[in-house]
Amino acid sequence: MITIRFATIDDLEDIMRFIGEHWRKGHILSINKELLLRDFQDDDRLNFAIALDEKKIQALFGFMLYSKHACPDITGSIWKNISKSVPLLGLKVRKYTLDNIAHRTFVGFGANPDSEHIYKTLKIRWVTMDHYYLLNKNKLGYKIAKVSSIKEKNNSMQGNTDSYRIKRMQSSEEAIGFDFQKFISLSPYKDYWYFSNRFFNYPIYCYESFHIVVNDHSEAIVVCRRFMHEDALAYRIVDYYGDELLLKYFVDYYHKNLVTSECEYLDFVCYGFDEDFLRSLGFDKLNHQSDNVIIPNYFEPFIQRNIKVFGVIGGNGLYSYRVCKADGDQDRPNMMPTEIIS
Amino acid sequence: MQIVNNWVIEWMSSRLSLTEKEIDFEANVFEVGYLDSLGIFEIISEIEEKFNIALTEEDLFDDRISTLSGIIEIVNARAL
Repeated sequence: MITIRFATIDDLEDIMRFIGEHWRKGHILSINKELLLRDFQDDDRLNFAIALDEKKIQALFGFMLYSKHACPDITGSIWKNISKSVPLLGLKVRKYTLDNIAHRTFVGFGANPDSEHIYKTLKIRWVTMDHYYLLNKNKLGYKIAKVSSIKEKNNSMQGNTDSYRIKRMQSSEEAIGFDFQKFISLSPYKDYWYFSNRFFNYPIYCYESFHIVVNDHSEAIVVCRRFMHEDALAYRIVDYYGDELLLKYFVDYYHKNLVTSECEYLDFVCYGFDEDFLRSLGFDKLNHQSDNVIIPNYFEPFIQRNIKVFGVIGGNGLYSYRVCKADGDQDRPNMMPTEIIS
Repeated sequence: MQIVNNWVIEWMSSRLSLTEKEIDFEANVFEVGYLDSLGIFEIISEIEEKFNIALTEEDLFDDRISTLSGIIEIVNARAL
């Protein structure tokens, strides 16, 4: 007899064991209780729908909220079914989640390419993230990227950039005053709780968060992460929240303050941002069909290959979908720090 | 009915190297290993494309979906 319900703290050990045995042996969520609780604990509930047969987990569907709004945008995470006797139990735990968690849209990125058929059958839009990069053309030789030839182009900023200021945040409290509500029409809609929990004091990864201040008012938040390989460095914008046109100020700041001799590039893996605008800032769009330029996506372990990131967008089309690399369960560690270092 | 039936035989034969006689249409496809939890969606999405039909969520939760004969029944009902 199968029962489906949301997990509680009491299910923690069973969920970790299930992930280790059936998702991936040694997966960080199977060994790091702190990270699992940080990402999935919601008071007494763990954000997993689980299907149990005689107290043994047969399927689970992890989900994450993008805000504490009464009807938040949500995303899926680990989704696994091991039952051979109950047809489509994986689909049932997913449906249980969507039927019982009030939500506005379901926006999930980092989807397994093999799951395309599932979403196609469910009539949910299957999309690919765009990967933009801005090479440091003064760099002599690349170790993270692979570049066969460099196109000369004008990266100069358009218009006046004097009236802005980039302010690095030292603590999450510095984001409290940001007007998140102003961007409620974006999906996923994110709030202070999300930014604070996601990017500050995050275990293992270190994020750098910035305000884009225009006329003494913060109009956008940018979050970056540095990637190291040997003695080389790359910057990645992992989240951007605010008017996308203000990204030009951050790019200007990057050129003036962040680029060092070790820095190979700034990249931005995203969905829903304007390609022409990003190109006008000097970004190139990665061509996944070619190996002339490689901008890696995996650093643990380091894989020097272009990798497409797939995602799904479910909703009624009323919102502007804008997704960044740190959304959902992307840009989360897969390994413990010692494994990452080695 | 026969068209869908033949297509399923062809699909199963190409994937699992089974002859028509070896395919058990009444067996639970998951238990006998014909399909896994991703494979079921692969066959369904290809059926939808091939026969220009759209199964509903209700169809996916129909218990008949666990056998090939059941899948064929569901598809034929939608194709009517």
